This record gives sequence, C-alpha cells and structure tokens, in this order.
Amino acid sequence: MDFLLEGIVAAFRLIVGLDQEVYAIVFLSVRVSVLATVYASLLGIPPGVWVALHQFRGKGALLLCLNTLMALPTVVVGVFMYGLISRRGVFGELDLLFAPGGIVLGLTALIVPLVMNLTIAAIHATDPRLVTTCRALGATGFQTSWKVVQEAGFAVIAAVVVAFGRVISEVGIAMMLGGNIRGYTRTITTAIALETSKGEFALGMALGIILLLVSAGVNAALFLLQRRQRW
Amino acid sequence: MVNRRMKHHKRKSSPQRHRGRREEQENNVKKLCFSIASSPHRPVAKHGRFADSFSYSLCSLRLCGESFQTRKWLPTMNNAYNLDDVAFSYGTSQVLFLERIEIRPGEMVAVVGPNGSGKTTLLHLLAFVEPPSSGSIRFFGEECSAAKRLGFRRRVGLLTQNPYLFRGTVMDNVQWGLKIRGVTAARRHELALEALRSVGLAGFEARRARELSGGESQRTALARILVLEPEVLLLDEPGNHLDRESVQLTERIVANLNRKKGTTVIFVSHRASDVDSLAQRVLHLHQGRLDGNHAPARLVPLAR
Amino acid sequence: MKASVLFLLVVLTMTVALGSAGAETRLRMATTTSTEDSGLLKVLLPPFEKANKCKVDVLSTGTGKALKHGENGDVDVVFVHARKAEDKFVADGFGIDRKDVMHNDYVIVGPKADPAGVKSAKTAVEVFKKLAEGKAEFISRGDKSGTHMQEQAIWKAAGIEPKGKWYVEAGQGMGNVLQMAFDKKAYTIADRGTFLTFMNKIDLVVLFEGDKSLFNPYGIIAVNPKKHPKVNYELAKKLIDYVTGPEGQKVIADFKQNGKQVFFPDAIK
Repeated sequence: MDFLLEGIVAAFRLIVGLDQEVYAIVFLSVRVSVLATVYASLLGIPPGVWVALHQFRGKGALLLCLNTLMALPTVVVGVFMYGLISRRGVFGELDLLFAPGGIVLGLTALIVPLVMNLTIAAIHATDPRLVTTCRALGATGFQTSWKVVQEAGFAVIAAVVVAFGRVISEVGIAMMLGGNIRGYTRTITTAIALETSKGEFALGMALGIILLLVSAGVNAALFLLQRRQRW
Repeated sequence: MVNRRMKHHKRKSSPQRHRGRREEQENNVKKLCFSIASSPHRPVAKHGRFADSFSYSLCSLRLCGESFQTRKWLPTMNNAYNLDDVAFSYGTSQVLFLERIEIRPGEMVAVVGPNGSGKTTLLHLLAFVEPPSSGSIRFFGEECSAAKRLGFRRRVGLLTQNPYLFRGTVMDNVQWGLKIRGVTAARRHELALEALRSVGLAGFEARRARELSGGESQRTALARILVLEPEVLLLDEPGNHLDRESVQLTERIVANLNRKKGTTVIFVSHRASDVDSLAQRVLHLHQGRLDGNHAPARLVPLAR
Repeated sequence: MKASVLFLLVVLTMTVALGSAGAETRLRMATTTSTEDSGLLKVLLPPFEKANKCKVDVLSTGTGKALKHGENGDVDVVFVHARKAEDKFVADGFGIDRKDVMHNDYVIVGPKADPAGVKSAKTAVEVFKKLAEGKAEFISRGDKSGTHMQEQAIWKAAGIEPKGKWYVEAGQGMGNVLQMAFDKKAYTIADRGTFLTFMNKIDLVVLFEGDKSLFNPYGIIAVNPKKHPKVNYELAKKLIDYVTGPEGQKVIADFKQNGKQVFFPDAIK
C-alpha cells in the first residue's frame, strides 16, 4: 500500500511541479502516438472500406491474413523494422533509427492491420441497403465510400481510439527503434521500464499514473466529440 | 381536342389525322432528345413543357388496340428504355431473362408478378445500379456502357422498398443527392425545402430522419429523389406496409409528375388497384421472364 | 470541414517538428547500462555538448549489444568496459582510436548473514568456488554485458561451469539483478558504481573486493568511418579527446556517489 501511495504522491508532485523532463517525455509519447494513429488511419481506413464493400476472390484469405497480423507480437514488428531502418538496412539513409521518426514508423506498421480489420468490421455492420441507396442517388464510388464511413460513424471512431490506446502503451517498439535516449526518444513507457529497472518504483508508478490520465483524457475528448456530432 | 388529349393519354387516336402536326412535333422531339442526351446532370425541369408536347405527339401516334408491339415509330424518337436480350445472374443462377422490352418516354408502366419473379432486379437494372450479366440496355437511345453508367444513373430515381434514410435530419437526407452533384449550399437548401413541400412534409426539415413514421419516411425518400428531377422514376412496391393516406399521397404525387413533367414512371406493385388506376401498361414477370405486356384490364381514364 | 482542415494542419506541423527535432548535430554513443545508470554521463556530457553545440544521444544497452551497434554503424562512438571484446572490435576493423578512460572495480555482494562464508576468501576465484560448493544462490547478468563477461572469466579461472538451480541467469540489467539478489537474499557480482547507487534501496553488503580479476577498465572507441562512411567521425574524435583530456578526466575524478568516488581516471598517467 505504501508503494502505491508513494507513487501517487510522486506523480502529483511531478505534474504540478511542471517537471521539465517528465513533460518532455509525455509530450513525446503523445506526439508519436498521435502521428502513428493518424498515419495508420490514413493507410488503413480507405483500403478497409474498399475491402468491406467489394466481393472478390481471396477476400477470406485476406481477412485471415489481417487477423494474423493483428496478433503479431510487437518485438517481431520491431525486429523487422529495425532491419529496415538500421544503417545497414534498405532505408538506413533516412536516419530514422534511434530517432522519434523510427518510433512513429514502427508504431504505424504495428497498428495498420488493426485499424484495417476494425474498419472492415465496422463497415460490414452497416445496413446492406446503404450502398444501393447511395448508388441509386447517383454517387460515385468515392462519394459512396465516404457516406458509408459516415454512416458507420462511431464504429470507425472506436477503431481509431483503440489504435491510439494500443500505441501509447507500446514499449517494445519504442525501445528497439527509439533507443530510449534521454530527452530525445524516451517515451512514458520506456521511461517506466527504465526507472523500474533502476529501482525507482515510485517514479515508475508516477509515470504510469500520468499515462493513465493521458489515455483517459484522449478517450474522453473523443467521446465528447462523438456526442457533439450526434453520430 | 388538344386539351383533352393532354389529359387523357389513353384515348385512341388515328395517326393519319395528325400527320402534319407530327412533322412539327418531330422537330421538337429531335431538340428534346438532343438536349436530354447532352445534359445528364442538369435538372430536367425545363423539359416539362416539351415533354408535354412530346407525350402529346406520342398520343397522336398511338395505335388502336391493346397491343403496343407494332411500331409505327419514327427512328429519331427515342424510347426511354430499350432492353434487348437482357439477362441477370446472381452467382450461377439466372434470375432474369428479358428478350425485348420497350418503355416509351412519359409512360406509366406497372410491373407485376409473384415473389421472386425478378421485379426488384429489373428495377435495379433500369436504375443502372447493377449492370446486366449480358444483353444491352439503351437509355433514350444511347447504349449503356461502363463509362456512361454513372451519367444514366443520375437521371433515374429509384425508390426502394422500405427505403434507407441516412443518419441526421430530414434536410440532410433530401439535400445529399444535390450535394454530391456539386450544387451550392444555399441552392440545395432552397430546392430541398421545395421538394419537401411537394411531398407534404413542409416544416419537417429539422426532424431526425430516423424518428419518422413509415409514411413520412417514404415521403422523405421520395423527396430525396424528386429534388434531383429525374427523367425516370422507379418505385418498388410503394404502397407496401403503408397507411392508406400515404399511399394515396404518393400516387397523387407520382401521377402529377408523370402528367406535368412527362416523367417516365415504372412501378412494381402487388395491388390490383394501383395497377388499374395508374398504369397505362402492365408488364407481367414470372420466374424472371416476361409473361405478358398489355394494357390493364379496365381502361380507366386518369381523373386527376 | 473546417475542423478537419485544422486537424490536418496540426498533424502536418507535428510531422515537420518531428523531423526537425534533431536538426542540431547529434552524436550517437552506445554505452552500457551500468555506465548510464551510474549517473556519470549526466555530468560528463553537458560541457562537451555546450562547447560543440551538439547533442549526444546515449544508447544504454549491454556491452555486447553496444558493440554490435558499432559494428552496424548505428552509432558513432562506443564507450564500454570489456577489454577483450573491445580489442576484438578494433582488430576486426570496426573501431579505431581506442583510448583508456577510467576504471572502477567489481564487488561481490550478498546478504549480511553470508551463509556461504564468502567473507573469509582471499581471492575472487576462491569466492566463486565457495559459492559453487555451498550451492548458494547466485544471480548472474546472463546478458553478455561487461559484468557478465567478467564474471564468466572468473568461473573459467576457477575451472567451474556454473549450473543448477542455485545459478540464476537473469538476462537483465544491473539494477534489476541487484533487486533480484535482494529479494532472493542471493549473491551477485556488481560494478561498484551501480551498487553504490542502489545501496540505500537494498540491503546487501560488499563481501569481497580488491582482487585483480575484479578490475574494470573502461575504453572509448570511435566507429571506423571506413566501414561506415556516414558516421560522424570528426565529432566522435572530439568527444574522445574531451573525455580523455584534462577537463573530462577531472569531471570523472570528481564524480561521487553517496560521498564515495566511483570511477578512477586512467587516460592521463
């Protein structure tokens, strides 16, 4: 019980005291997570919508593939990405390894299958009459797809929120591709891993609490947005 | 005589008497066909007046008797639809096979048949929502190709059975069709209000579409289509599951449209009363094939 | 529509900011967890960063991994404490300009009660023999770190291959291993620096020290630009000069943990 209390007190002190290092860490975490979520959405939602609305041979195989990719352990994604962006790798020139860019790349790769899969599920759950109605009203393929996404509404938003939650709590990839460099690529999660390995449990817990608050805050904001738009 | 003919399309008339007039109408028809063919996206409102004289000239050509198969037809006058050997298969089973169907512009045609006879599929083909598995469909004289499909689709309005309304308000629903055609917001709003008024839903714009009653929903869906001023209106069992009042209102609106603007109307119905009172011609479908093509049993003139 | 335009602008700005965050020159250094955890680098690097208007990115991993990073060219300079591995690194042509920096030593720590009677031993080898005989629980780093390699050298010298339930290969950093030893009331070998850092948090004591085999020298090596042209060799050279120069060495000598000196400078003899 002491432990927990110590952690909460430490957290409070850090947040209120506007500790610069802590805020840098939090800001980095949020930044890479938001970017990864946005990129993954841009890469995952349109193909997801297309797949959901079209029938083709191999659709079943594709869905199976996506399910497998979703369950891929992060270290596998991390190792693969490491191979790509290391100086000896294909994209070594881009200097992404041990930089925030590398983390964003890794996180994006991690959640694209997730976003795509959830989008497909969301679209499949829409009314089958929707597409016919749109087409009958003279919509182009793109206009129909956009309307379908709008009608799927909260389900698609939920997919994005889940993806965000996944990346902000990600440790393995941030560690492997970021290197946990103080002041540069240290995210909340890698910082927690480091502090607890140094025996600084109170600090680790404080960071954990902050992470929870950030996550809850984002979820709440999106929830309110959904309410206001009256999805 | 002219006035009467405008109102009562079903009157028989002999062709010889109006040959002179026919030539005059030919030119109007040519102009009309050309303008319809060359402006797929503009609302067809202006054509209302032409369409009148159009159907007028049709009347003058109408043959006596109950069969419209024999064509004494000027090649420049285009049918709304020409279906030739059109087939549609769902997977491996063939659902529809139609050797030849012609639908003239401004006609009011009913499609009847038992369940599963392919009526809805036919409507979907006529709306260009689905392409046929084989065969050709000509729309106002033009062959339908993949490139032209969207254009044709935009000139046809399809009211499905149990229509699906989008989330949001009635206004959101009615103006969506205009929005995707690039009409400005102010104009959209204006046209939508007008359309709602014409279906008797004035004041409903701010209502949530999902909270409407059955009759109101159908009328909203109808307004959604009418605002786009389609040249052809397709209705799939419009009288189904609705109260008498809504049905009558829909009938009135549709008949009005046909009369005033010359909109071609094709509707699927189970009810003998609809068929008899509205249709000029009835297509019988049975197991995906055409079973008969004739005028309704009783020729009742349109009293409205 | 306006909200989404604003949102896109924010995202675009963030992306650009992400890219330019490293706009200033960055020197990448791979080092060991014990070096980083000791806190030395926090005081050693800032004067250099200020003088050269750059940022030194410190990647702290195990010695093995740090050297691998150097081999791959993912870092510009390597700062570890594993003489044999370092020599091989240079011999293989991956590193150049190796210089001695400092040294500290390892200590063997354990519970105050000392069930294996390690205190009375005269040499490190004797300590290990006693541990093996008594099957006293011993936590090993098990991660090819400098500490681990030093430990393995002693086992080899004692002619023992440590196996059994009492020999725990943790595969973790020094901090975690010390924690584990504390929790299990076990023995372990640790570098003095890290141990001093943890002294207040865990209840282990130094049971043996001072043997030659516990000597722990640190070396700094620049990654060979011939193997990896993209490394920042110029800046790496400057860092080496600083660390082994009078200024750097003084900082090292003055660095204290709990009032005790942790590292002993070696560069200037």
